[in-house]
Amino acid sequence: MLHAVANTILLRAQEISDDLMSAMSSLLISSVPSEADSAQQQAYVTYSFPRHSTNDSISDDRTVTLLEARSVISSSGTTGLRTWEAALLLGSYLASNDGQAVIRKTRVFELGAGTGMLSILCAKHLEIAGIVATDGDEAVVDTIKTNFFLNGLDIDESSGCIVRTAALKWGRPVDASTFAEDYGMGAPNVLLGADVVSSSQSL
Amino acid sequence: MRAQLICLDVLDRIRSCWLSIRCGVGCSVVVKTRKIAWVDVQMRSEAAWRPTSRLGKRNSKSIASNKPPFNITTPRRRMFLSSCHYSHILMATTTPLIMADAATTLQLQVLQRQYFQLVEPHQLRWLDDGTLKASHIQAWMFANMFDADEIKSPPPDRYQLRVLKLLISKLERAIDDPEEDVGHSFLRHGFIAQSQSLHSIASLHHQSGLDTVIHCYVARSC
Repeated sequence: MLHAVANTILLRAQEISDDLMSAMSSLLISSVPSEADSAQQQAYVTYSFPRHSTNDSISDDRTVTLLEARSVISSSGTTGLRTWEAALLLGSYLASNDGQAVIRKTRVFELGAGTGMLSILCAKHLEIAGIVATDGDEAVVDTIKTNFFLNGLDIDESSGCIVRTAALKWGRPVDASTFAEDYGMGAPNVLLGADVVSSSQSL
Repeated sequence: MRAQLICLDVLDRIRSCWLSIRCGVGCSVVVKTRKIAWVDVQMRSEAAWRPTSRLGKRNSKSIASNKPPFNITTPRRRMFLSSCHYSHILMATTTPLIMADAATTLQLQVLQRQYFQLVEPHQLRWLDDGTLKASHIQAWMFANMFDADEIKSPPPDRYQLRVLKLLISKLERAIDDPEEDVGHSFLRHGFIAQSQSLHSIASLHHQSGLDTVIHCYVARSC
């Protein structure tokens, strides 16, 4: 079978980029996991929030790269392992001029952060003063940390922005001084939430 | 003053193709050759580049050039039969400059963003088949979407494979004349940007800190 593949590739090389054919052949001969396994695994997903500048020559993609299980709707009792469309929509708004005007230089607190996409977008590209990304699920908070790391946000100095994660159970009052002690920054100015609650019936 | 880039022939009937060559400093160099070939080259530090007045046949005399910054290391593939020499960089430009057509660039960027967001292959906003088959578009797509050695956070293998299969089936459909030398369109685009000297490319690479794909046209000297 490999021989047949190699022959086909050689015959086609006249028209189609050799690089593309090589990329395909190396994927063909590597052991690609089955569709079912692949769907369960975490994979890199990169979201882009391109800046529409008047000058076409400067393009700034403002990317957020996450490790997430793209096709998992719910597992281990959480829906926080993938980025949901509402977060993308809110991200597009925040990345727009109007959104940036609202969020620039503010301290941001995100509820139900899930993969942390919005928090990372804010910290990495939107010039906020600080972010606390929270989620009710400890395991989800761990993935937020991983995703912060993937985007170079694990060190405060790198972005000039305070970056924190926390597992947060709702229902308890928080006052400013406790907040400052817990997260090392003043009370937040902006509260973000995209698709923060789900009903088990809807899953 | 001859810079040699050793390329290894594979099939005589393949008249031209594009090669992507990995450089030691994280640059890819895409080289047009008349024969299919694979080599690994290393890029010397910029200081080591010496200007040269010797230019290849197709270049105009007015264009300043530099000695191609290549050191030759082990060939990536050993299956090829014989070797020949290539010399004289005629032009070099970064990937965005190659895209003379702004609308096409935008379309490619949209496709690229969708791809990295793992949009289902059949839902991707594909360029029309006629555009896709151009060799510089194929080279762009390889360098910016499928180059496993350069892309830091690639989509999962299975997804890549599905997209590649679809792309290649589109290319097969688009290429109705196998004898057509699509490389010429690259020359047209490429020479628009030929005033970019190697030095400015190098400093661009240096300043941006990003991986820059340098496209070079190399004339065959033997």
